[in-house]
Parts: sequence; C-alpha cells; structure tokens
Amino acid sequence: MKRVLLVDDDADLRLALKLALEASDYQVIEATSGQEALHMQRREPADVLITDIFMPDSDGFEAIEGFRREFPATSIVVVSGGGGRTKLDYLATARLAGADATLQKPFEIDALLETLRAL
Amino acid sequence: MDEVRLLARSFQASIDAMRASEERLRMALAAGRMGNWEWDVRTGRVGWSPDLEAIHGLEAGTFPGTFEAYERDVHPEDREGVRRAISRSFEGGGDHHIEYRIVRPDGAVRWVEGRGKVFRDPSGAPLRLVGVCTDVTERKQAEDQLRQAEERMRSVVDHVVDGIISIDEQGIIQSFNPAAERIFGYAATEAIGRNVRMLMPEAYSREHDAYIANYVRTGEAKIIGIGREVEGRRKDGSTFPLELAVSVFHIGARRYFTGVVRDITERKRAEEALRAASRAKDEFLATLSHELRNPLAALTAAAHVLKITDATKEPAIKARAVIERQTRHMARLIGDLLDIGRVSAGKVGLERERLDLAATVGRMLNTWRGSDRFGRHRLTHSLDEVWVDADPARVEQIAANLLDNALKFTPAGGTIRVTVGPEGGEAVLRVADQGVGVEPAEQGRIFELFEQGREDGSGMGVGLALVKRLVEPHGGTVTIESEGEGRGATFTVRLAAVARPEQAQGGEAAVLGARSVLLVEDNDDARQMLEAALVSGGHRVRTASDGASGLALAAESAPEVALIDIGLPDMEGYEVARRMRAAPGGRGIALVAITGFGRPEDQQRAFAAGFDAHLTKPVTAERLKQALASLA
Repeated sequence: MKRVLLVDDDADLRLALKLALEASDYQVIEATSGQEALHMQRREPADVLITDIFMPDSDGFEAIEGFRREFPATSIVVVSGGGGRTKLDYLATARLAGADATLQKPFEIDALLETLRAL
Repeated sequence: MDEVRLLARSFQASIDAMRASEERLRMALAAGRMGNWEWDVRTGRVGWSPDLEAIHGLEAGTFPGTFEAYERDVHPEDREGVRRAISRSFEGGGDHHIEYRIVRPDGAVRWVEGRGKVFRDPSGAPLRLVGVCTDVTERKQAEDQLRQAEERMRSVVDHVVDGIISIDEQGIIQSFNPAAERIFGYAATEAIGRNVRMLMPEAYSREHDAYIANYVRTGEAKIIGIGREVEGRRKDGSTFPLELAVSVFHIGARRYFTGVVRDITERKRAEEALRAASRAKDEFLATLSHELRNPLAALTAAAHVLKITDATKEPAIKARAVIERQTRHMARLIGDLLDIGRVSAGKVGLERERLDLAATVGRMLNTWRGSDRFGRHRLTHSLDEVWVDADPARVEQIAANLLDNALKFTPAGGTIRVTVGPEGGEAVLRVADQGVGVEPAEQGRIFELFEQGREDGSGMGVGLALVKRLVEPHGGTVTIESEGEGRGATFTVRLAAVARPEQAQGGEAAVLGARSVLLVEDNDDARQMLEAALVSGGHRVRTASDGASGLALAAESAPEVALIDIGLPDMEGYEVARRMRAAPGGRGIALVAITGFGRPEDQQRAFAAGFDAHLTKPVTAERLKQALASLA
C-alpha cells in the first residue's frame, strides 16, 4: 500500500483528502507545515508528498526544497489554489522547484488518483 | 547811408532770425505740448503763451493773467504742493521742478510738469518768475500702467504656489520668490547672489552646470520650455522631488534663465498610494482565489468520498461534517465579501435592538464550540452582562470576524481570550490572541480593505475591514493593541452601554439559580465540555487553564462557585483551593474539586484543603447540575 504524506494547513481539506485517498487504498499521514512534513519523513518515509503552497508556518516551497535535497526518490505533487489567472503562478514555480505534478484547487479526486498512478 | 542800410538789414536779419527762432520754439513747444509763462512779481501780472492756454484747455488769449486764476486750475489736492514749491523758489533756491494735476474747464484732469526760475534785482529781491510747463499726462498714464503691470506681476510672483527663481548665465540667483523660500527653506536674501547649485543634490548640480554651459555654447536647450522632474535640496539638506520648467530671457546682451519649480512630494505620495492600492488589489485577487478554491477542494474531495463509500460508515459521516463546515465557511466568506461592498456603499441599515452583549457573544462561542472551530486552540473567556443598542446580526458578525482573525493568526495550541463587560459607561468586547502580532507601524492600516496580515497571503484583508465598517455605524470604535511581531494582538470594540431593559428576565444570565462559576481545568476538551454544560445551564462562567490564572481570576471576579481540577500544570488543585479560601472574600466561595481519583482518602484530602464538594471524572452535565444544586 502506497504511503502518502499530506501537507496542508487546512484541517478539513486534509480530512477530506485523507478519507478520499483511504477509500482508494492509500495510507495517509498528515502534516500542517513544510517543516513538520520533513520531520515526519525522516522518521517514517512516505512514497508521495502531496503539499499545499500557502501555509502560515513553513510553506510548500520549503517542503519541496527539503524533499528534493533529502529524499530525491519521493514523488512530489503540489496542490494550490493560488495559481491560474493571477499574476503569480505558484504552480509553475513549484514545477521549476522540483514538483513532479501540480493540481490547481479545486480538482477532481479522480484527477488526483490518476496523477498518483502515473508517478 | 550804406551804414544805415547795412544796420537796418542786419536788424531786419536779427528780427527775422528771432521770428524764426520764436517760430521754431513755438513749434517745439506745441510738439512737446509745452507752454511758457512769466510772472511779474511787482505787478502781479501773469503772462501765458497760447500753448500753455491750450494745455489748460483755454482759448488763446482768454487766460485772465492772475496767479489766483492759475491756482484755480490746479487740482485741489495738488495746490498746496505747488504753492510750497513756488515759495521755496522765492525764498532760497532758484529753480523749481514739480509735477501736478490741473483740471480743465471741461473737467478733464491732466498731469503737467512745471519748471521755473526766479530772476532777482541786485538787492536779491525777486523780480520775475519764468517757466515752462509740459503736459505729461500720456507719460504719467504709461508710468501708471507700467507700475500696475509690475504690481500685478509682483503679486503673481509673490503669491503663486510655484517657486520662481531667475539666474544668470553663471547660475547666480537673481530673484527668489516667497514660494521658492517656502519650498527650499532659504530666505530670498540668503539665496540671491549665490549659485543655484545649492538647491540641488550633488548629482544634479554637476549635470546642471553642464546644461547651462551647453546651452550657452550651442543654444541647444534640453530643458527650456518643457517641464521635467528633478530632485531639489532644501536648506536643511533634505531632498524632494520637484517639477522644473525653464524659460530664457534677455536683458541687453545678457541672457537670464527663469525656473518655475513645483514641490511634487504630495503628488508622488499620492501616486505611490495609488500603486500600493493597485498592488493590494492584485494581492487580494490572488488571495481570494486561494481562499475560495481551498474550501472547494475540500468539498470536492468530501463529495467524492460520499459517492464511493457507504453513507452509514464513518468516512461518509466525516465527509458530511466537512461539507457542512466548509459550506458554512464559504458562505461566511462570500457573505463578508458581499457585505463589504454593501457596507462601503452605505447600503447596510442597522436593525437595532437592546441586547446583552455578553449573552450574544456567549451564544456565538457555544455555537462555534459545537462546530469544533476551536479544535486546535484554547479559548478562555469572561462574559459580564452589559447592554447595548445594536443590530444583533451585526454584533455576531463583528465578534465572529474578530474570532476568525484570532484563530487564523494564532498557532495551534495558542490561547484566545474573549472578554465582554462594562467599562466606564461603555460596553467593551475584547479578543486577545497569541498570534503573529502587528508591528506598531502597521496597526493604523490593519482595518483597511485588502490589507493582509501577512506576506504569505493568509487572510484576505476583508474581515477586519468589515469589523470597522460595522462597528462605526453603531457609533462605536475598534482598536488594536500589539507590542509587535510575534507578541499577539488584542482587538477592542467599544459600544455605548445602555440600561438593562426592565423585562429582561429571560436572558441566559438570568436563569433561576444561575451562578457565577470559575472553572479551572487544564485539559482543553474537558474545560470546553464543562463550560458548555455550565453555560447552557444559564450560569456565568469564567475559565482558567492553570492555578495561577485561576487564583487571579478569582480575586478579580469573586465567583460564587469554583470548579477546580486537581491535576493542574503549575500547582495542585488542593493548593489552589487553600489559597482561594485564604484570600479576602474566599470564605464564601463554594469550592468543587474535580479529580480522576475517587477513593475515600482522595475525598478526605479535598475536604481538608477546603473543598465543599468532590466530583470524580468524567463529570457529566447531569452530575454537574446536581452538584451545583446541592451547594445552594
């Protein structure tokens, strides 16, 4: 069973994604910041990191950078609502920083599952 | 005979010459509007030439020939001056030279210039006064016009808001108007005669010398006639942006430059404010996108779970809860967004009624507890009855936005403290958080629309702006106090307090048997659960999460009942009870111990410390109710 580390500061979003992923037989562990995700990964590594970008304590870019440095084998999927038609395209920046795939919130769960399968 | 003829011819020639000379003089006098006169002092007889009569507007030969007749023609205001000038000529000096007005028979006023000379006998007594008189009205008028034009120009230069400075080809300041004095801080006397470079920062002054040199050499004007923005330097050394327009003028062969300068500091500031507003709007749109997409993502995921799992199983139940919370959250977000527009446009009317601010806020806190909004935080509160005339829906919105803000910026595990109560004739609501705080410099802007608390884009800059726009129509104020970054913040809303309505018996605080209860419990869940049970029983509750703050609250609020957990982080509940009893007024408090240990010796120990009752965990609402009733 693939292990997913889910990083988002929004508790409800974590809960909903966790429920959805668990229903598709993923094992899900949660973190609320980039720093916390790194600590958890060092203790018990996950196969995939799914991270938000905007988080109050330590943001998604920190997570991407840390994972690329310490855990190059871990796949990274970035999900953010900040991309798209606004001036700053966070998702494009995340891909440059080393994310394997990006999804703009809101996304269909099937699209996320497809992304995870394709990694 | 020849001699006689010769003499006669010569005499004739002299007479001809004299006639010619007289004719020339007459023509000259007429051309110059000049007339001559002679006053025989001994006879008093005054003779005028026809030209002088013409100047005075008289027919030739009609001047009566007296000084009095002459004086009558002089303008009444100038008579004294004329008389004085003539007497001076008689007494001491020889010539006189005066300008004065005359009034012609038709009433026309003319300016004349008179020159006169006194002739005396060998003893020095005056014999005759002889003189010429010139009509100088046109010159006078031209002079007047010039003076008026100059005055008009001077008035413009002196009162215009723009600085006007003229310099010569060497850059030496020739004139410096009052506006230039104001703009640069130099007095005109300090500036005139010095090089204009002193009004420019170093970089510009070097450029300036090159400009002038180049213009003088080539006639090629880089800045003549067109405005451009440059930097100015004041007397105190400070620099500022200014707009400069230069024109060139000549006096004789010399060239001068006039610079019109305008201090555009304010305009620059306004432009910067506009850019900042535009930036804030862009950031707002970026954040709005995030804030709206996030709950949608949660809703999408939850809907997916409902689709693929058994509706009666736990995942579906949790997913439904997510949907409930997130739709509520989105509804509030959208409501705020729509409200801010309507409130800003002044379209929101208040439906005021008399309400207990403490009860209104208390109800809201309970609802939020029920929906687990405080899951990651600790909430303490102290709610004292105080009445206001306010729109209950708006009051809830104000409190909700302040709480939302506190939750958003306080890290998990942090405490949020809510207090409501009367303070010097006002009803005061305070929400204190342990969040990121606000730097003093930022505090003025925190209530502005689209001002976000943080660079990372959390928060939209709508909630607090809405609070301010809802509080102010109530005649109230909202303020923030924070010692700065990382030091938390306290928001204070002040509304005018009003008298409690006479029929107010039904409020939560007025339930029969209601007590003021102090609850000291360090476990968040237990504290919140007990508090909710007490509040729903109509009691007024204050909470503390450790012994020290419990003791402080007891001293401050003199509760009727104190519920004290025994296992507190800083001191044992027994110690708290002993100190509470020993404090002034502590005898009257009913003390209830809450412990995890129900053995008889535990109860004994509690009673020895001063407790009146002893409750073993878990404390249910029913048992709590019984315990409180038994203390009556």
